[in-house]
Amino acid sequence: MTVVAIAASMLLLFMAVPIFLVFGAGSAGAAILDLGLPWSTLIQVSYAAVTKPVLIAIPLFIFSGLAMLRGGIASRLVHMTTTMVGHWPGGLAIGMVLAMGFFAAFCGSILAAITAVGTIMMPKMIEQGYPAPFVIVLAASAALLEALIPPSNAAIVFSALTSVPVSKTFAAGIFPGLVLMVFLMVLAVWRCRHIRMATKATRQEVWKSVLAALPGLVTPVIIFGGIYGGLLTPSETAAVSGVWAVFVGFVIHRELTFEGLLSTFRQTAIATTVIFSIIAMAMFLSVILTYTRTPQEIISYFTEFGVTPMMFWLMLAVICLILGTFIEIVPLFYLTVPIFAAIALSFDIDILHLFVVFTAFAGIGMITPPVCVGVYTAAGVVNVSPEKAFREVPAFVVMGIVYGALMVMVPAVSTWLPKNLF
Amino acid sequence: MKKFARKLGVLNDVIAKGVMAMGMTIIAFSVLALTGGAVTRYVTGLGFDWIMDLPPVLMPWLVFMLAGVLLRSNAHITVDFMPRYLSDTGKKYLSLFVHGVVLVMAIVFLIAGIDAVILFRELGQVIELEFDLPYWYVYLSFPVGFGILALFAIELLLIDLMALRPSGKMKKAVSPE
Repeated sequence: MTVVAIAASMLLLFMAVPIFLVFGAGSAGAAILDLGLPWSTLIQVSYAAVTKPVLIAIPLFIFSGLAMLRGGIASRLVHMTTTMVGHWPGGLAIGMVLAMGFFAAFCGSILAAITAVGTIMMPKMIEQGYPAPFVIVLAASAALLEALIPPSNAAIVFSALTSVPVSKTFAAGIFPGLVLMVFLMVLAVWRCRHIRMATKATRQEVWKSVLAALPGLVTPVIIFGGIYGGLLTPSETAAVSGVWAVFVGFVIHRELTFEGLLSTFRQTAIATTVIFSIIAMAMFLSVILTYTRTPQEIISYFTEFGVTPMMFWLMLAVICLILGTFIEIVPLFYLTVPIFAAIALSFDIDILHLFVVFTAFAGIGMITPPVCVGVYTAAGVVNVSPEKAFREVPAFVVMGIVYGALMVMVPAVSTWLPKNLF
Repeated sequence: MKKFARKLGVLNDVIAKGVMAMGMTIIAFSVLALTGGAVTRYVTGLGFDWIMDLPPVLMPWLVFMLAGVLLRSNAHITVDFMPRYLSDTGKKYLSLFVHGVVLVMAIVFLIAGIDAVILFRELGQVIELEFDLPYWYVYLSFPVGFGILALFAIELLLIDLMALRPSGKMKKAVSPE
């Protein structure tokens, strides 16, 4: 019956049934018909997942990011980075990566970052002669940065699944996020080395742009100071950064309106429902895994066949690349992390190392067709057909695989900071 | 059928506005509660634990209630792999199938949710915050949310059926924006 449920779920998935219902139907079908579990158990587990205190940080960081977008923080940040590096070869592309990195440190929403930074930068870049397909995929690759650089929703979900403190998972993503920024900048310079802005900003203009962006630059201080200074919990940090963004938008920049604030609440509610509905239903699956002892059986299978850690990483990379092509990162976490985490622990692999490698490879899947929300969102910003952007994807995939391999080979990039910070 | 679909659409519009207002209120409350809790802890040395414990407990009332509204606006994450390879008519049939599946699942989850709420009400279990909150208050969002999802699925099914008529046109889904 479980096999039938899985097959039916796959069919429904490809027929465009909402993922949260695919998870719900497949898992509930197997749990009730095969394992004889009562509905009340499934509903209890589902509620326990949705009401986990750590997860409340997700809507709050999304709210914070959207408030920054509407309150003018994002536009000033983009202006600052372009003023600083716009005149370099491929300068606007570098500026976009830097702005994405900064914005990633403000909020946890991938699509908010693409909208915030992309809306301002992408038309400007295309106007300056940057190839539109490259600009779209570069903006979409922010998905990778957002998933790694704290505060990321991916890190919060990973913590909720593995019971690792969010502060540790956040710390694990910092250096890998910075390394990824370097990778993206190198690719941007190599691809667009012949394009640069005609005029270099004067020192006065640079300072002016930094001063304008200063209120926004306080946000990472609130987030990291709050969490690592032991002053606030991650959820409180998210809420305080949201209130700060509203204050800056209303009082300092005076760009946020009451309608804008209401729209921010509305969009946050929508984004939260999209993520949490998947979390609620995906937990049915974890019940099945627990009752069938699937992770333990896979571990004993691995031990029996002498699978090495390197073979495990290879399998993880292939699975993440394939599944990441079709499924978003949050459902992918719920689908595979309970199994991967159990196997990683049996190999004595640091769970934070797993987070970074997993996110690196799953993130690549987010820019590969057919399912690539990042590319579709970025293409929508500049009204270009997403299919046109697909030809630029291979270069980013190769870069992502090299980056992922580096993360596998050098675990210290992921584990050094959390070990030394706590 | 057209008349019924229109009336159901009007009802669903009202429901959508109501649950969206509730969702926005929950988000606003969460932001203020956690910020206020942190500030009062530093100013007075005392934290209001129940205010800070409440936002996670309210999440089910946001998520399950809005699930139907998001179905209507096509905002849920889907793997839109197959629709790319279908003709316009094929897409209409697929949409009909998807909304039919959603309706069946919504009804199954609605019945299961009602059973679970009755069970937990009889058990009398409570969430131990600063005050005791009966579990079934939270669990109630499950059947209510899937009931709303069923209503929206019926509306979309009717629209699909009308679009499949020879002169039928697909009505554009209403955006929560």
